[in-house]
Amino acid sequence: MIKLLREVKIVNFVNLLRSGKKPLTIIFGLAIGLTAVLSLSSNRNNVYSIKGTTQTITLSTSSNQLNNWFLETGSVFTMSSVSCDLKLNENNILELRNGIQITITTENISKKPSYLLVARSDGKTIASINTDTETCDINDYLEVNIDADQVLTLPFEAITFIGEDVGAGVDKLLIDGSVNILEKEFFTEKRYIGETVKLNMGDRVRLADNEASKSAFAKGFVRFVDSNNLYFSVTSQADSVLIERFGSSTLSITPSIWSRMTNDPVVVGIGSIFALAFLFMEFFMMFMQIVKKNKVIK
Amino acid sequence: MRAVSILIFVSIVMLHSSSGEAQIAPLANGEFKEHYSSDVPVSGKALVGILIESKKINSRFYIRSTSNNNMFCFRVTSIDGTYASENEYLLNPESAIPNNQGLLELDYPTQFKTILKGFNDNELALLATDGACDSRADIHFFATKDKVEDGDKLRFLISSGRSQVFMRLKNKVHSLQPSCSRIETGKRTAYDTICEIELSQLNSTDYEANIVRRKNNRALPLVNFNLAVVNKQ
Repeated sequence: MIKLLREVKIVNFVNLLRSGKKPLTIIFGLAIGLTAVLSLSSNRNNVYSIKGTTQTITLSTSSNQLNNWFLETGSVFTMSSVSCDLKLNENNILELRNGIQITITTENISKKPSYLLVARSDGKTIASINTDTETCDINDYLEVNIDADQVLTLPFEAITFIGEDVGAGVDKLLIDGSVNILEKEFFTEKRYIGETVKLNMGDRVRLADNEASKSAFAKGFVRFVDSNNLYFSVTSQADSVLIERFGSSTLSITPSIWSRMTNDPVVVGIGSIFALAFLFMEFFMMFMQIVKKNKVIK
Repeated sequence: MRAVSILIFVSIVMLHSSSGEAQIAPLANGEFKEHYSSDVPVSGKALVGILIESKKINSRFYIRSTSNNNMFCFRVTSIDGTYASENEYLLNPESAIPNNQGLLELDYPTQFKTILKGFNDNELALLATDGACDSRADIHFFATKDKVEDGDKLRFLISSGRSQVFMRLKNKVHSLQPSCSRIETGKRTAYDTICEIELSQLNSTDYEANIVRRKNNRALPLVNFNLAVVNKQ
C-alpha cells in the first residue's frame, strides 16, 4: 500500500514537471540555480602554498618571534661600530627587528660554498645578537656568512619575495617551484587543492593582499639544502600570487571561477546527486510509459 | 571701436612676448629618438637617473643647467626597460630661458604620452648629462617632471644588479650620505635602487658623487660622477 502511494506521488511529481506547471518547475530550477550561484560566488578564502628551490629569497620581517634565528655559526660583518662581541655560537640568537629587509642567497666564491644573509635599513637598528645576559644591537647594515657544510632551517613570518627578476647583473634566480591554491570547501572549513601552477626559472614571486600593490605577510621557512640552492616553503591566505616573468607583464595567479565546480568535493558531490536524481526521474518516466502502453495493449 | 579692439589685442600680444616667459630647449638635430618595446633594451650603466621628485606626472620634462657646453644629453628610461629615449638638446641662452624656478623645459614630442603618464614618479628615470650623448661626460644636472616645491627630495635611480648600494656626495663645504633602498615590487629591469636626499641639504657648490656597491660579499667597482647644482633664480 505504502509502495503504491509512493509510486503515485512520484508519478504525480514527475507528471507535474512534465505537464509544465510553472510554480514547481520554477522552484526546482531555482534550487539548482541557487546552489550553482552559491557554490561559485561564496567566499573561498584562498590559501596559497608556494614551494621550490631558489638561489635568493628576500624577506620583509614582521614582529613575530619566528624571526629569531639560532644560527650557531657564521661570521658577522657590519658597517656601523658596535661595542660587543659579534660572534655567533650556540648560546646566542640573531633577532631580526620588525620591518627589516633581509636577503638570503647562496654564494660560491673561491670554491667555498656558503650562504649569505644581508639585512639593511639605513638609520635604524636592524637586528640584535642576544645572549642570556647581553643584547648587542646592530644598526644600518648586517652581513652574516654561513658555511654551506651545515644543515640549517630558518622559519619566518614576512612579506616574501622569492627569486629575482631577470635584469642586468642579476645572477641569483628562482630555480623551480610551484604554487598550490588551497580553496575552502563549500559549506565546510576543509580545504582542497584547487589549482597548481608551475613556476619557471627566473620568476619573481610574491603574495598580494587586496590590491596588487600591497603585499601579504606569509609564514614559511628556508632550508639550506646544498651549496647552490635553498629549499623554501611559504604559505599564506592572500588574494593572489603575483609573478614577474621576463618578457611578459606581471602575471596574477588566482583560481578560476570554475575550479570549485571541478575540484571541490562537496560541489562535485551535490552536482552528482542532481545528475543522478534527473537520471532516475527520466528512467522512471520511461519505465512508467512502457507499463502504461502494455496495459493499454492488454 | 574696431581700432580700439585692435590696439588692445596688439598690446596683449606685446605684453605677453615681453614678459620673459620660459621657452623650450630645442632638440639639437631636430630629430626626436625614443623607443617603446617589450624587447627591453638595457644599457648596463649603474646610474640611470637623477631627478627631483614630482607630484604631477606628465610627459613634460625640465632641467636645471649650468653647462658651459651649448649641448646636453637627456635620457628617459622606464623601470621595466620598455620605454627609453636619448636626445641631444641645445642650450642656447637666447632661445632657452629658464622659468622663475630656474627650470628649463625641454622639447619632448613623444608619441607615447599615455604610456608615460601611466608610470608613477619612481618608475621613470630622467638623466641630463652635459655634452653630447656619445661623449663620456660625467657631469649631470637635475631633471624634474614638475615644479619644485619645498621639502622635495633629489633622487638617484641606480641599476645595482641586486647589490647593496651606498652613496656619498661631497664638495668643499661638506659631505652627505643619501639614504638608499631597494625597490622590491614590480619589474626592475632598468634599475632597482633609489637613493634620496632632501634638496634643502644641498648647497650651491657642485658635488662629487660616489656609488659603492657591495655584492657576493665583496665590493663592485666604484662609480664616480659630478653633480652640477644650480640655485633657483
